[in-house]
Amino acid sequence: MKKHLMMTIFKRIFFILSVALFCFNMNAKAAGQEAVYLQTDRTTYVAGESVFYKMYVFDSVTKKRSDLSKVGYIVLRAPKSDPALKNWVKVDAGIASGSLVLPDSLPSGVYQMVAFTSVMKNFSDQSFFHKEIVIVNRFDKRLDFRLVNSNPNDKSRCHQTDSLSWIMTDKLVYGPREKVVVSLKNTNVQANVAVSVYEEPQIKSVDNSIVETLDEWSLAPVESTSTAYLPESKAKILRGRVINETTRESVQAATVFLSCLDTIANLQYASTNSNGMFQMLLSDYYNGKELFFTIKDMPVDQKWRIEIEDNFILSDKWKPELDIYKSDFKDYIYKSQDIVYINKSFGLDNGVNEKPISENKPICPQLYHSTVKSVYPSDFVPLDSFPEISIEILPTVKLTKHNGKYQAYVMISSQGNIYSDKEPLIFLDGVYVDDIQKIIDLNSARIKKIDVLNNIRAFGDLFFYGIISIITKSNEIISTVPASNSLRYINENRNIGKSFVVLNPDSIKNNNIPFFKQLLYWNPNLELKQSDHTTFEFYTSDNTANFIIKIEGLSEDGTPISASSVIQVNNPINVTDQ
Amino acid sequence: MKYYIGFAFLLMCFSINAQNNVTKSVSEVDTIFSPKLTGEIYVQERQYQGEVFYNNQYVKSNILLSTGEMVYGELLKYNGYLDEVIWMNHSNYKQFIIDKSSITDFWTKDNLDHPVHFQRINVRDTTISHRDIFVEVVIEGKMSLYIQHQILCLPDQITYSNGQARYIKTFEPRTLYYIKLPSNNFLKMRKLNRSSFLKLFPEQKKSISRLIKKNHLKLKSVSGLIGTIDLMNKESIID
Repeated sequence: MKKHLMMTIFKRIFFILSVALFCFNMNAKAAGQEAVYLQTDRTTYVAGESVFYKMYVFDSVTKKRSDLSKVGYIVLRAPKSDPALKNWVKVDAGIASGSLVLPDSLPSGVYQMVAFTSVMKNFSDQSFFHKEIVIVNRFDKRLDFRLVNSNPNDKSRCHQTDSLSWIMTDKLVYGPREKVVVSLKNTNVQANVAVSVYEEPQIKSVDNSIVETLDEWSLAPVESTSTAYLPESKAKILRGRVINETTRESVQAATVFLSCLDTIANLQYASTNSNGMFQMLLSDYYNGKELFFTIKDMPVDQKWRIEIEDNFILSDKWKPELDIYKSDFKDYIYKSQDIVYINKSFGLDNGVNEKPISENKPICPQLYHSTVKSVYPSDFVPLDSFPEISIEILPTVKLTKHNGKYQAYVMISSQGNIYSDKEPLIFLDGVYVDDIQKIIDLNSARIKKIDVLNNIRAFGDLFFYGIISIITKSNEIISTVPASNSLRYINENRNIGKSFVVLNPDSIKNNNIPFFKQLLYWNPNLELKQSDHTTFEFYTSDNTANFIIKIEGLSEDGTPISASSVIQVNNPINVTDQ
Repeated sequence: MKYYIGFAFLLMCFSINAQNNVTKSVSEVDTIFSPKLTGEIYVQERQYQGEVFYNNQYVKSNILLSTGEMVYGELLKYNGYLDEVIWMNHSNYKQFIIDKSSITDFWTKDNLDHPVHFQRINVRDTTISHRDIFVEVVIEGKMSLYIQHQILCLPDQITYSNGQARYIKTFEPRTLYYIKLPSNNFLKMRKLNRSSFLKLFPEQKKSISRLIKKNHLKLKSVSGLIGTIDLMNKESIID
């Protein structure tokens, strides 16, 4: 009897323990899995305007800001077509903000903004953040595009998280060009929020607030598709593959060199794995530069090729359910188009200015740090070719010609100053070139500087029998093919776009200049303090409309905040009269 | 019963494995993309007497590069004669002299397995106007104390074997002490004793003497020197 009781107790303990362990296991599996939320200033834009955004990167388990990924990706795409805009941002402690300038040429329609981090690519595209926005071309007067099928509830005015007195304005109705002071009272939270004040759109919003999005994540099951994507915890990671062009098979253990145009020989290398894949860390040094990839020591009888993976690639095209054509939003769009036209004409372009990117000086991955006695051919008599230069002014370099092809050798100081029987590494304008023939025609007039390192040198796990680095006067590498297998790749620069500036109407000296705004205020980083009231101010414009004050963000403990309020702006002089 | 225990154990293993995944992927990033060391081949002296290395064996050491990046667990030895860091590249078993200007600090171990922190400093010398040397960091503060573990090459010793003269290099260690002042200037001390130390601070000579006497410090040893500089920092004797 006693034994039976003991067994029952044990079984119960075991059951509870199993459930607890199972939950812990599920949580642990999802730990490191991130989720993204993208807040935008509005949901309807005219091509040529800026989309101001704030990106939140969360740990999908703790729902707190993730410190894992340092890079976030944003893609803007139209249904069934290629991305219209691609942008990557630096994420700092789970937050990034910036703006996307919408090209004037974008056709009218519904667009989708997709935001994600590299680790999210280990799961299906469904785990990415998706948000629909409407973009209208400034010159499109037909407006015959269709909107996304929306829920019956309009979400443009989202729910208030706390009491109704949370967002306080001194009054509800304002005149034109009037100062509005907003107080966020008794918030009792320490949080970082983004605030936007924009004209209430006549197009129904289908987006979830940050609160709703976070709730849905906890319910949405995500399936892992691959585990190959590493977190971009340091910088952007570039992935590529080496393929045998004849057999179409992946090439294993191939060494890929990366260097770019510079006055210093620079190098980064990676070896391909069993899938023929290689990965390279692209620090800020590589931002906006043309990258030269070359396979080192490719067998002469083989034809290999380097393929670079697009970091912005989305596996499926977007096919939204579109509403039948409705014309009730037309007046609102016409007004938006007119306002953009007026502001462009008077140079009051939404009160935005170019945001300078302030960054530390990027670190060049130098091939060598030792002091080298550089040779400047201009200091000597003019010489017609590199073989002549090597004979006359480079005593540590020897060029031999065999079957019409040149070969270079460097004197190795550690081996009693005898010429090595192995070829050195050659760099032209900072870029690795696989053959001395590429530089053989360079003469004194074209070369600025030559560095020769006459010893066996190490770079990481690789070692070379000397280095010849040539810097030309007019970046000859641009018109040179570094190797038959080399690939040139433009590494897009980080673009944080423009920043919003609150324009004081008093600063417009001429009263005849119209002052129309649909976005009155945008601040992506407003800090809410636990004890104090937080205030911010902006000015109304001549635009008669209802304006939504929308606040979204995250508290220190990971609680999502979403609140909105409405103010009315009345202009006694009608817009059309003006 | 044993099945239950087995199942619980399996579940626990899964949990631990899942938890490790995040840490693993972050450390994988550090390993895959660790910064690269650069240097030139090191050719060891063939026959000599004495020792050219501060630490005889290669020990796993960490390096702070001038780029601000850290390299962990590389096999290093400090050559006091060349004043260079020698690196054993474990992938090709070749020894390289790491480019001096690429190193800011390195952390290694001495022959007694004690951790030692070295730093590259730029000091004024009577012979060369500016030069970079590697020194052991002993105190870092208002006034800092560094020790240079120099190895000197003495005149060749001649030995005769089978009637033939052989010239053998002889190396001998020498310790130099550098004190960095708040003004970032360096003072060099060749011998450890009270008078040499006081000579470096003619204006504060009396107060330092008092301090040494009061605290019963012996400047003939490194510990005495450390104690004195520590106290001078605390009492802000040098500004």
